[in-house]
Amino acid sequence: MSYTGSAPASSSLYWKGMESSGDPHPPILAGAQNAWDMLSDEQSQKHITTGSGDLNNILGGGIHCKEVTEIGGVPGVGKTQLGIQLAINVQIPVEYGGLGGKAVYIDTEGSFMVERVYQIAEGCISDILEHFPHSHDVRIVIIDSVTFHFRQDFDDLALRTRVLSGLSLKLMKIAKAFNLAVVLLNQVTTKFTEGSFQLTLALGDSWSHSCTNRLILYWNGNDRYAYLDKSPSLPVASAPYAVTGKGVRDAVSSNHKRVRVT
Amino acid sequence: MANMPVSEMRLPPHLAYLLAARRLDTAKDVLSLPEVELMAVLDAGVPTARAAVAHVSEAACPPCQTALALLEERVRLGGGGRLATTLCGLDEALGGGIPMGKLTEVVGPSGIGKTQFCLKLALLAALPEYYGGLDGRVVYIDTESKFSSRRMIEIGQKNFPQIFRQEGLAQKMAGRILVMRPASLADFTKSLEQMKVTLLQHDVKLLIVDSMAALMSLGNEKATAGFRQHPLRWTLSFLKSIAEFSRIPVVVTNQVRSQSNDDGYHFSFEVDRKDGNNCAERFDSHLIAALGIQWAHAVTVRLVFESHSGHRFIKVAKSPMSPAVAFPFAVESSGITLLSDEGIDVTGPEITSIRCQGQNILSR
Repeated sequence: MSYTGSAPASSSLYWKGMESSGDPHPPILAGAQNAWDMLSDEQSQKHITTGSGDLNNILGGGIHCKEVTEIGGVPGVGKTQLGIQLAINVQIPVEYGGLGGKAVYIDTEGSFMVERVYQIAEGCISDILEHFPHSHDVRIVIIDSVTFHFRQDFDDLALRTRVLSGLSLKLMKIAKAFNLAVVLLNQVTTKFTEGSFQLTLALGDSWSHSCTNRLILYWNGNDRYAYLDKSPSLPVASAPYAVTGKGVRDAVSSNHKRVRVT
Repeated sequence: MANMPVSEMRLPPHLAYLLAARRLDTAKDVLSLPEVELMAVLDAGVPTARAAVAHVSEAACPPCQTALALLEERVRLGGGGRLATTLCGLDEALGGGIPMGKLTEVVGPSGIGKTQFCLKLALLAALPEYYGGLDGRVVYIDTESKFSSRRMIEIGQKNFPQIFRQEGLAQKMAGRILVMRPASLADFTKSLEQMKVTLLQHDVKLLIVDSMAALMSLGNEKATAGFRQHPLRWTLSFLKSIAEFSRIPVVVTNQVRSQSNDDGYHFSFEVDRKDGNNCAERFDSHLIAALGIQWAHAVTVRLVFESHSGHRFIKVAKSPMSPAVAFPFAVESSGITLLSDEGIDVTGPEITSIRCQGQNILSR
């Protein structure tokens, strides 16, 4: 998946400050943007749908561009499924409310299976009834998972923390400069807190500050749920979702029974 | 990729010279340092450090491919990139069979049939292609001395009588299966390293480690969980890279252990809501897979062998391709056979639980 880079937006912010808010004075700080313009920018941002309406709602419409979102959960709960779904959904054409973009999927664990990608792509097409026209720019980068190599090879934990923070800064920079969404899939580990062992996302406490948004996928009885654990603008909330033959969809009782691959 | 030597990277001469002078010999050396530290080591400014990182990353980065190209390659290679187990229901659920290039785990209580399953797989990989095999060698790492040639030949004779009746063919098939019995973790590690080079040369088409859990405790009687982590991490990484690099299926068996207080079950935001149910859920199924949650994340496919309601089941507990489904099976003279190809759907906590009836499993 090759991509064409667009020029970093920082240089154009200088001029933007003057044009859009109607303020005739030169900007006070080069490279800064006032909050009103940021708001208009945010409101015109499109989100990448996850495939499940409930999940989109707690995320404020879907996965945001220009932000780094971390998605974690126990093995088998559907992180890779969601990652693949987003890689497909980012390509939904603009006419159908999507971004018409490309996806870069970085697979560190070998869980990317092409046949499943094909299945999910077909599911997406059958639900919106159209073919995919040629996409232009990369609009999402998915790393599945960011944890694996950091858990195996780093004996020096302090070094690991430094490398991770360097990585998260770079990813945030890329997200803003190229106006794309970065999604990092994370694993879980156990931590002793409040008198008992609990599940928590891996890579430590300092890493947990690095991402703008955090979504935790978990099992609640027989259903899969997603919990929005961290967000700058949305309240914490949970929503159910399902993984079907067509991909990630709303949790409906029996209509979307998952079909096995033949 | 990480061990790619800088000398082979065709960097601009001044950069190559600088990195060599500072003893940054591999890609990993350069890229695992944060920018500020790299500047300190190189005794250079920001632009030089960034240029070094940019050039090294570009050289060491694995090529990217489109999903379509991957799909077309899969189709071109034929066989769907799978090793068919001949258990029809299971093969269908897994999208053709055990996936190549990925790590598949077989976990279950002792005596349930994991080794029988591995024996059958070893046989299948050795068979010629027109019998559905991979026509290649098999490396079988047997840590608990459970491999029985006699049993394997018996399975072969019952399933493929026409092959095994032919003169010398049984010998040829058995000759393709290389059994290794490492006496210690160090032995195992050494053999693995050797293997990476010889796998492709010698046409090895399947690697089985039976069992992984036993390997971790070889020679580590007093191991605490923390110490056991370290050799496990390296082995895990290595097995996955062997699988990926040589595109062969790697099957690993795992044991079970009793749940202990150290196992976390819920996230902090869940605990508040489910206080009453915690205890009940824990005692419902007192067995979990050994080797921990990190291992559980790392395997691509997890097949749980368990027994309940008077039957044994093979349950596809983790698979990127398929929903959780269980098949009743039995172990007969012809090896493992499915009692039904219609799987039973499994949801919720049943997916990850391991049930074992009528046996007392002591904690390891």
